[in-house]
Amino acid sequence: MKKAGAVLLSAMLLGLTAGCAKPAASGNAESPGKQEDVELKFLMWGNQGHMDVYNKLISQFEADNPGIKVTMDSVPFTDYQQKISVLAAGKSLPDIAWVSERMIPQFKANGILADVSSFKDDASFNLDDYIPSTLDLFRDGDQLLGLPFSTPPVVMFYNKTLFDKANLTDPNTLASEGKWTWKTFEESAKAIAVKDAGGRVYGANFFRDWKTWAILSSYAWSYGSGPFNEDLTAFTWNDQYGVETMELLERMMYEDESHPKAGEQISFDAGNLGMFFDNYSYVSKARDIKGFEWSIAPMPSGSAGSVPMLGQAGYTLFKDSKHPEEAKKLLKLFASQSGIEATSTYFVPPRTSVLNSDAFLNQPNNPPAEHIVQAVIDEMPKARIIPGHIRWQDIDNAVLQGFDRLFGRSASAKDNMAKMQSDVEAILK
Amino acid sequence: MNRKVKRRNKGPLAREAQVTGWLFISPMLLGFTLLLLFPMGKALYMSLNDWPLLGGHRFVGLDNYKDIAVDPLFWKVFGNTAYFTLGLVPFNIVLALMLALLLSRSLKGIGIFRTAIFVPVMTSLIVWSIVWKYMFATDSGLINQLLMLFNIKGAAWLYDERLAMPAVIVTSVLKNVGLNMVLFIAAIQQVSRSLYEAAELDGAGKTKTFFNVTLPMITPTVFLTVVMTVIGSLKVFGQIYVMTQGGPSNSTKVLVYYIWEKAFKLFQMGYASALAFVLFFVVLILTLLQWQLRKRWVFNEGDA
Repeated sequence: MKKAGAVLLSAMLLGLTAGCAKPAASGNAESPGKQEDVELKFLMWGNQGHMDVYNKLISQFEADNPGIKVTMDSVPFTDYQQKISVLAAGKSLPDIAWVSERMIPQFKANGILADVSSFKDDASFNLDDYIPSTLDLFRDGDQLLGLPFSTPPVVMFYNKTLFDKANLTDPNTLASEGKWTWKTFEESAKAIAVKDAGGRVYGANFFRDWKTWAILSSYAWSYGSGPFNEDLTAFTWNDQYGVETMELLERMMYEDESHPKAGEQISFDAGNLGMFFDNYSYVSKARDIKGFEWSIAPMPSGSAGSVPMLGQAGYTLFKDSKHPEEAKKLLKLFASQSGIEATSTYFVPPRTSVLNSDAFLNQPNNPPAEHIVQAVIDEMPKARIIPGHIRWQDIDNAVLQGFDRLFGRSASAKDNMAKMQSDVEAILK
Repeated sequence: MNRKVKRRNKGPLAREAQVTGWLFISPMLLGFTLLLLFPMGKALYMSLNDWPLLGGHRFVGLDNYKDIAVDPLFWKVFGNTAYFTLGLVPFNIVLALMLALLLSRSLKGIGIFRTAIFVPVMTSLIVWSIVWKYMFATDSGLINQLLMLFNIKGAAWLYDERLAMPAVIVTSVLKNVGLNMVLFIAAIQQVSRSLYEAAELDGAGKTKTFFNVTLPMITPTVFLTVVMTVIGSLKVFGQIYVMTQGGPSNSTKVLVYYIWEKAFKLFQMGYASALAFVLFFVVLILTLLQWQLRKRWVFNEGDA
């Protein structure tokens, strides 16, 4: 009996270990050998609308390349960089992925990005069509570590219906007359705000998830200053304009009560928010708005004009991909003229030929074409990009803590900026 | 004991029995070794290294521990963890005991109240925290809207350095008080009726009966709940992650959150592992201490 029990147990244990080993074994069998087994993984942070566009591109790709399957996964933007890093450590990176300008310095330093400079020699791809400055981010010596698909400036979405209700001139008209200043912006926000608890309306919101402080850089930029110097080696926000930025936000939150307080979830499409700042790509959501009229306008201007923040997103391939050739084929489709045309439904295209096409301007439910020209195309040459930094997470934390002090009203704008400077410069050293 | 076992080992029959014994516990032992002992050993090794998530690691000896000792943020985080624990444990235990006293009687419909207080225990912590995060919202939150009815302007609960931690503590107590309450109810109902009758005959009032009969008789349960609640509150993470993300200005950043941030946001795996071991020893020392003190105040232990 005892013996039988022992045998039975060891058999069970054996089964257990064999069970554990199985998936790994079948995983190995997948690689090259059989052609029809190639599966490409594509990771992004897009919403359903974005995924619909890609699903079309992917089914076209799969039809043209029998034997290759593409699976797409979406991870929220706030977790994205972390996710890629963890996947890299676990050696299970996707084959192709979106990256934003924030993430590139870290991934470059980790050495996980694959070189795609061979596209230079591919006449059918026509790399020269890309606006040269949009490739800067991806260059590393002779290497090209990715290709951009979106170069959106931050624009101001505004609720035209609320502007009309408050008898205000709309920002597009004011901007074309050169009168769309930060002062007018603040006054408009105050005029739009309704403080009744029942029908609460807010004038403006700078924060998407209470983390997007970088959009506020525009204030200092528009006066010729900014949060950081060119190569991100010094924190320069602790000057008159940085302090004014904090004071502006403080006044709007606590005196005028025209800006939501920290933690409130006020979304533009709900209709009780006058002005909202986000990348142009937010049009993908705004197009579904039914209850009110909206459009986009440039950022308010200071003595040096208006200066929006530029975001950038691109595709990269990874070095340890099992199917580098197939992944390159997919990238070629995504980044080709037709691919960029397809994604320009939502993204500001980096290809000159697409940027200047009617297809980009005249999407269904888009804001009027002249507003897109005014807020996006004319603003792009002035737009600034916050350079990346290998310790960006720490910098971001330090700055967010400054905003925590503002939200908790535990420090004056001046002291707050001084503290922020010493915290950030300790990291930059 | 040892000698006995050794003697028994000598016979071939006994040896076979031992092999069978090991085989019987092997599934558990295997799981324990692979999933607990090995990762713990690895973490200990990691804590002695400079270990980025990607790229090579470098042995640094005790440097991580030395860095922790002089890391001002660590001491703040340590203080926050102590604040959370000292705020939560007495509050939780006293409230649970009071509720248990109220609800241990068998009255009609008492089950409804017990269920109402126990339901949060079964709810997902994340859901509970998200709901409370919305209730604590500054302008549109339920709490401040209610205060508005009385013309009181509510605070920015989760965005004020002084209020965020108490808010998280209250949320956590309401989430878990039901569990301790149920344990107390069970203990109170076990107390022999004859003791109460004797106390009544001696003319003891309600307060006296509670302090001299009920409380001493349920000290084993009090001990259990205190140990469990202390360990639980040292390991708090979910509520903090959802409600405050350690903010404002690090005022709610507790040890486990700090470990998570170092490991999975800043990717300093070595430093995070060292922090985890610091937490491990804190929990160990506190538990040993409580175990020792138990002899002083725990009464009525069956096998003592």
